[in-house]
Amino acid sequence: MKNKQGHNKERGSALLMTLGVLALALILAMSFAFTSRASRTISKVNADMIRARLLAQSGLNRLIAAMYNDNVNTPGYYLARKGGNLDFTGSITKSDAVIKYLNMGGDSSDASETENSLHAILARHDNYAKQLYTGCSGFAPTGFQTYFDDEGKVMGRIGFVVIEESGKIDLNQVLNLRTEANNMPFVWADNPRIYHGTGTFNAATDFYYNILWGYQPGTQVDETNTQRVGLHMQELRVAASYLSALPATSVANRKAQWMSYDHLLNSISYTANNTTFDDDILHYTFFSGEEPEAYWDQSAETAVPGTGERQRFDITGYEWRDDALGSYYTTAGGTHPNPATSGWQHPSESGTANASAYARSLAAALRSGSQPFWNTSVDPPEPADVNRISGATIPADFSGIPWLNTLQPDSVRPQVAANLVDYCDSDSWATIPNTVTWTSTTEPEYCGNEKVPYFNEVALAVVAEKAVTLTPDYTFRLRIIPRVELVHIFGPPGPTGDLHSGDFQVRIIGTYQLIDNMGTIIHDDPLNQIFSFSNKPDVKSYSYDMTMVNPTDPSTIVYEETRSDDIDGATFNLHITQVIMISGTVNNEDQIKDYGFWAGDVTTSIMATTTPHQTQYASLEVADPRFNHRSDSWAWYGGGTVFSPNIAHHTIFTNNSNFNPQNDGTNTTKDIETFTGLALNSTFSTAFIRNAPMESLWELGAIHRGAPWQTLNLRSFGTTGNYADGDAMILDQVKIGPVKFSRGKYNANAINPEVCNELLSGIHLMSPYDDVTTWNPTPPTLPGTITWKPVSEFRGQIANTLAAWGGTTDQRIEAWIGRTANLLSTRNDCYTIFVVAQAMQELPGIDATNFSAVRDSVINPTAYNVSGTDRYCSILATQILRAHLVRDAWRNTYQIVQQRYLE
Amino acid sequence: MKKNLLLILLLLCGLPGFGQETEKLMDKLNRGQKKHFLLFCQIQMATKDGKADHQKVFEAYVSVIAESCKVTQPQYQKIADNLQERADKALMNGRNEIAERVGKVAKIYTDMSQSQLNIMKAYEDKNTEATHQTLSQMQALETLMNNNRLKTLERDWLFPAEAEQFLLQSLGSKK
Repeated sequence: MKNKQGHNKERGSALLMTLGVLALALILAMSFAFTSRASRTISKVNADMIRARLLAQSGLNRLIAAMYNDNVNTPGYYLARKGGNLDFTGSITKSDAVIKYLNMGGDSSDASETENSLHAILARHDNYAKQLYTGCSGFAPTGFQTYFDDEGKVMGRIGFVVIEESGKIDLNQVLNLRTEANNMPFVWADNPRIYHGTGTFNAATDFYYNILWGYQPGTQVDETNTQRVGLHMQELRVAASYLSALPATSVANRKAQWMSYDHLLNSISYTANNTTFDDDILHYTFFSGEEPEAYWDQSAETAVPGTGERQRFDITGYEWRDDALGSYYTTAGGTHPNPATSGWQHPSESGTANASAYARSLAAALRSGSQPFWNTSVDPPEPADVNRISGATIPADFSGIPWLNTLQPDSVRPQVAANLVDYCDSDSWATIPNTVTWTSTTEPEYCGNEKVPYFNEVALAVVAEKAVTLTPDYTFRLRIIPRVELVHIFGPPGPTGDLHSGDFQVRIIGTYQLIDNMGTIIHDDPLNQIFSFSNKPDVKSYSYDMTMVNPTDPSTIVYEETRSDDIDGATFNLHITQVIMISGTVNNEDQIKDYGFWAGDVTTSIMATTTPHQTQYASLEVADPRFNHRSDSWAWYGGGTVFSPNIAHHTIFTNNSNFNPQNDGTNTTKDIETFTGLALNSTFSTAFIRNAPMESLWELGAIHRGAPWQTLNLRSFGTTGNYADGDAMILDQVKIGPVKFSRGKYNANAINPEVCNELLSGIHLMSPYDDVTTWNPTPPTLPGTITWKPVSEFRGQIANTLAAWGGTTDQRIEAWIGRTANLLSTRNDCYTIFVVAQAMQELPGIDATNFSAVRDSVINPTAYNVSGTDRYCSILATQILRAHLVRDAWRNTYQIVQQRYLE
Repeated sequence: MKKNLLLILLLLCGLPGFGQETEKLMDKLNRGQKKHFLLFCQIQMATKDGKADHQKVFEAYVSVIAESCKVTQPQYQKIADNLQERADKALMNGRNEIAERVGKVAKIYTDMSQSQLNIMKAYEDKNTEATHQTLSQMQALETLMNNNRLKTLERDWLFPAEAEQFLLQSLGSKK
């Protein structure tokens, strides 16, 4: 019994154990169940998140596709802003700064759903979007596009916002991130890009951008000492704090870059109140695209796809010169470009037949087509090297400036090319056809403008003499006594600006007769009178100089006869058919400074009398002395009265009577000058010849165009080649320096007035071509109504907008475009894209009557309208994708610079 | 200038046959005209040698005429005014024939006065053509006045054609 009792004591343990095991099992089961449930929830959330993320990714792809596919309607190139393409109708503004945005989709949340509106979602999750929304005006995207499942239930929605950033300046390209001396932007020899390494400029081999205008590449560039020349983006001045706020890198004297808008917005180092970037948010960006230094030739692209990008011509001469010439620079007075090693002149000779032939060949080569930009013989294609001059041999396939061969009329083309050569070479010998000599009598096709005194007027006194002397005998004589006026149209005033005319001669060709009072011809001969002048003194700046022949000099005698009998009513009939002027070194056709030519037929009759000697005066005046080698630029003073007995029948020492430039801007066939009528010593605003390679594209506007009062017209853009339509197209076909790729240029098609204004800041319209060291702190005054020209693949087209921004002369108006063109692109469009993707579940049985009753019991409820129907949904997950995109507008390709999902 | 004139005079007087006949001719000239004639001769010689500056010739020869005209022109004008006044009075008195005749004479003097003004203007303008034409007109007027026995004022200069004729006469007498 005892054992039995003992056994009885052990009887409940199994139960307990069982219960324990069961409890444990229950716990485990519950744990599993809980875990399983949690996992299931997590999985669902993850699934929703993934669904939202996939929606976001597909949204980005869809957006790019939308932008890409629009190319069907506009083959070749197009720009997003172009009418009929993607519609960037939204405007974000702050003061005068404006950037455009696009919001695709028309489904918007109910007005009461403020926290679920698109802009509210963006502002909650992204600092940049928040700043655009709260710190600017006009940024309020609301539209979503809704996606449905097979049953027509809402499964998600996507909000697309595309902000066009092309109208901003890339801070990373404007700042000079190298902070030591010798940090001028430069191109290492044979390197296609601006050099960013640790090396320094080497004058023996490299090319630098003289953005301080001090010709001292060793000088340190900072944000306050650049000049606004139009060479490189780094010359734009931004607040220095944008540089100082950047952290240093492990490399000495190197700053890091701005990496994002968050980076910019969160920096506390700008100013005490940290508002700098807040204020500048519509001005600056931190990204941009790289682009080839090429211009777009649609006809080439059409003919051979892939060849539409053509080489820009380096107006400095560095890229196409013979690189065996050594340093591009001379160190005299600083590191200046050296014409002798620039390619613009014969490498070793001056004033010789070889040098003349070189100049002529170069002028012809400048009118060549341009090479394709890409060398497609390698894979992937690389930028092709332009064909260089070798020694004094200019290659047959020289890459020129095609616009020069578009100029109208055709006859001006060689003249403009010759003017370019003579502007950039250092000698004073005009580029002129080899058929022109000191005895030739044909009108030259061209004669390059050198910085020399020009023939401006030839005033003639025609004297008929008669003498009765011993025996008796009778002497009859005809004289032509010329006075030659030279004009010095170039500065600077003062002795250093004086110019030497050298030797010159005037030749008068025609016929003359001696007749009696019955009309009987006693003598009839051709006229070929040459007047030579040697070693003339210098001509003062901005002034005239007159040289006359001694009236009794034997050279003035055209005809002379002494006879024993008188001639009743002896009269000379004179025909002048050519007047030819030439200066330089006598009888040396390779050393001609200026060549004036007139052809026509003027006549006079003068009776020979004993006393006073009958005298008739006539004066041949040139309209524009820069164009005096063409006959149609000359006219005889007095209109229909060519010869007059009035001794004052000339304009020596005053402006010619046909000196008639315009000043009111209404004549589209002439440069705009400030002259008001005739003014003593007037000159042209564009009268400038550097005698060295150009240092900005602005100087192209100083190139005479081969017609009176016309220089290359940078004030207007056209495609016809006519002066009135404009020559700004040439700005697309030229560049400064040898770079093959550039980055961060301002998009000329963007419309952001305040930034456009900032781009032009520093340009002082009173600055002459050779001194731009006056920084104008006052930006141009924007016209009340800005007429933005249509978008275009040509950066020169901006001329049509900027020409209205001020300036009273051709030179000053062209300063805007000429000193900006090289900072412009039409190729890279920059965008910031926000894609807000939400996975959603439509709430069953919910409508307007009961939505408010359930909204506190469901996750993220929202009510919004889809194509007119109210939808009541729960937002299951939200994913926001922010991407920065660069689009190549010419090739219609896209590059994502930065992409990030915002938490 | 004086030295040159003397040389010319000596040269002319030293020529064979230029003696008595020439002297007779010269006697017809007053002192100023002689001087002007010698200037003319000098110009001819310089012109033949190709050494005559047309502007200097003009200045030298015409300035004498213009200066003289400054003096004689008011006098001619005064005569013309007086004559015109007389003509007007005659007309008022009904003496039409006399009035017409005096009026014509007054017109001649007025023309002479105007020619002298024109000469002064042409000189001022250095206009050889106007000078030549006006001198020709003036010489024709003077001939007209002489033929009609109208009083002419003495002039101390010679018309170019007069001087040329005078020189030819001198040279002719030399032959």
